[in-house]
Amino acid sequence: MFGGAREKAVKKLKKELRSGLYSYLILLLLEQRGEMHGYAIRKELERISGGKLVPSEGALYDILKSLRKYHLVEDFWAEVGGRPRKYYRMTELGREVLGELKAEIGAIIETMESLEGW
Amino acid sequence: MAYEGIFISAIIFLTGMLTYLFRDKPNMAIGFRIGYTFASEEAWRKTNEFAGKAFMGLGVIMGLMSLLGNVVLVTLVMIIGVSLIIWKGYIIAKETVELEDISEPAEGIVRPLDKVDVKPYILFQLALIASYIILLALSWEKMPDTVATHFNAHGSPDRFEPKSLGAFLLPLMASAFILALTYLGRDPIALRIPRGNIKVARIILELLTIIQLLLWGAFVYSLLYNAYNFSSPAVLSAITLGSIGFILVETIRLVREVI
Repeated sequence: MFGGAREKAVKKLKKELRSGLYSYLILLLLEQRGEMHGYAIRKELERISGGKLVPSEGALYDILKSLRKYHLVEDFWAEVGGRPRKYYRMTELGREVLGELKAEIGAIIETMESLEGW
Repeated sequence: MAYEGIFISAIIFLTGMLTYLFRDKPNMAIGFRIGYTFASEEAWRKTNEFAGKAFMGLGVIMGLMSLLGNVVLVTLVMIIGVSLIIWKGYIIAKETVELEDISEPAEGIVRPLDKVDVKPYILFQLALIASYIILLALSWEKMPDTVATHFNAHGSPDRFEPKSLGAFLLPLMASAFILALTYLGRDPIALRIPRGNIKVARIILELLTIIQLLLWGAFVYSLLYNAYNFSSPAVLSAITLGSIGFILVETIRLVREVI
């Protein structure tokens, strides 16, 4: 009877949990790898999460657009194999913000660990 | 007056119709042709479908307004409408290409694309606009409430508008439109037609700056005529012939690069 409601709630909460996490993971990847193409970011997230945390292409594009809007990442066009391709890299502001996010994630993990059965 | 407006509206409508009809076939002659639409067939289709419908709609709106006989209002609607369509078309094409780009692996040597430095073009154009505004401010009181905005081949005025529109709003909007198009050149893909050709981007920026210069010449001439009774068919002819000459030369350069 409540199957639909359950699925809906899980879908919504998962989406909310993931949206912030994706931004954090993308910033983390860019910090470690330097310049990355959008396709490579997605593939890398797929690899490190064992296929569990992979944003859709549209979602990844929107996240990158939003990170760019806040000047946390910058993009540039490069020619690869005779075609223009778009690459992303972290800005200085992105590095500073990521530092604060790392502290926040640390606090979240600490809280989670102090809870039983999370 | 109404005929003029209806004629321009019909051209805008026809442009939209052709853009819509050619939405499935990327080509060098008809359609929304920017670097992004040449970079992806999907971007071409989406952008031209939007631009075709939008230009047809704009043509109809302008046509109906022309029947009311206010050619100034029609011109303002045209500048605003065309600006919005170009801006939205640019966003549609850019986002389609960027989204497609994410879905395919980029393998090979990464070579950053050369960018055209738009700053000199922008600064030159801003200087022209600023000088016109200063001249306008200094001459405002000397101008009549209704000013001449168009001249025939003999140098006699044949169209008049209220000065707030004819000497201020219309010149500024026309200049801002050209300036905005020039600013698009910051994007290394937008003006590459066909894609990858930086020379084309440079010629387009030169062409836009020349158009800005010629507009400035025409606006300053009108201002001097209205405020100080300055009249010189020779200067007027020079502006007209210069416009045709410069634009022809740049267009030939552009065509030679593209073909």
